[in-house]
Amino acid sequence: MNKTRFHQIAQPLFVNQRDDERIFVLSRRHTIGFIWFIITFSFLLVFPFIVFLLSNDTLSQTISNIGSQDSVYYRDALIISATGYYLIFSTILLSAWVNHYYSILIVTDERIIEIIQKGLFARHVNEMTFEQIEDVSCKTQGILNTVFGVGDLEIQTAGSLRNFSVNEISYPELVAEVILELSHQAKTGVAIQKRVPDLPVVAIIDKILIYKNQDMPKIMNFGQNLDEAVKDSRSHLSRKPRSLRERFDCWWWNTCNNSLVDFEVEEKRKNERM
Amino acid sequence: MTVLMFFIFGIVVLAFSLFSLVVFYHISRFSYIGDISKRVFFVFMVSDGLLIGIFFILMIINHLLS
Repeated sequence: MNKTRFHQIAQPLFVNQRDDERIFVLSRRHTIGFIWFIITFSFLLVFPFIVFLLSNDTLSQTISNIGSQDSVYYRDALIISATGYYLIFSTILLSAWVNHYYSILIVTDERIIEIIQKGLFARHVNEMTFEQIEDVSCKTQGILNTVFGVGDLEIQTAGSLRNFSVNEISYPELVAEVILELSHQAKTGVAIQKRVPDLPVVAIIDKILIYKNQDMPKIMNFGQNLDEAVKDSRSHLSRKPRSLRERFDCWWWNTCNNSLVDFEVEEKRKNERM
Repeated sequence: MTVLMFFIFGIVVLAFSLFSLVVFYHISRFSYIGDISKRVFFVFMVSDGLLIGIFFILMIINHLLS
C-alpha cells in the first residue's frame, strides 16, 4: 500500500505561515531522547505484578477467600488501585509524549521558529531572523546519540538576545549547515524568495533528507500547492472515505473544527490576488 | 459499602476523562494534517477504555461471586 507521508501533503505548518514561505527544516526530538522514559515506564508497567508476587501469603489468602465479605472489599480496593495506577501511568506517558512530539524546530526561508511544549499547559514559541544569528554549533555526546546520529544544536545570537538550543535532533550537522547557509544569504542581501541553501542537502523535513536536484516536497511551500491543500483537507467531505484511516481522519476533522488554518479564507485570499 | 466502592471507581474514571479532554484539546489544536498525534491519542483512548471496561467487569464479577 502506498502510504502518504507527512511531507507529501500540501499544508501550512504553523499559524502565521506565509503562502510562499518555504520550509527547509522541520525537526522534532529523536525517539532516542524518549528511550529512557520508555524503559522506566516499561518497568513501572510490571511493577504491581512484582509487588503482588513478593507480597506475603496473608494478603493473597485474604484476597482469594471468595466467601468472606471483607475480601470482597479488599478485592474492590485492589481493582480500584490498579485502575488508578494504570490510568495515571498512561496519562503521564501520554503527557510526556505530547511534550516530546510537540517540541519542534522549524527553519523557513525567512526565520527560525522554536516551539517548546512544557507540560500540557505551557507552550513557548520563539522566533528569530537569520540576521540575528552569530554562530551555530552542534554537539553529539553519548553512545546512543553517536550510533543514531543524534545531537544538540545551539544557535547563538548577537547581543542580549536569547540563544536557541534544541536537544537530540537528527542530522544536527546538516541542520547547522542549512541554517548557516541561509544566515549567510540573508546577511549578503539575497531576497527571501530566492534563498535556497547551496548545499547537497537543501532541506531536512521530519528526518527525510531533500537533495538539491530532487523534487521539493509539497510541505515546503504549501502556497504553491494551495488548491491541493484545500483538496487534502476537505477530501473526506467530497467522497465517501474508503479505508479505516480515511474514516478516522473524516471523523477527526469533523470533530475538530478548530484546525490551524481556515482553508476557505486562504482560498478567497488567493482568488482576490489573482 | 458496595455503592461507595463503585463511586470511588467512578471518580477515578471521571478524573481520567477530564484529563483526556485536555489532551484532546491539545491535539486538536496543535496537530497537523498527516502527523501521528491523532492516531496516538486514538490508541491511548481505546487502550484505556478497554482497561476501564475490564476493571469494571472485574468489580461486577467480584460482587456477583460474593
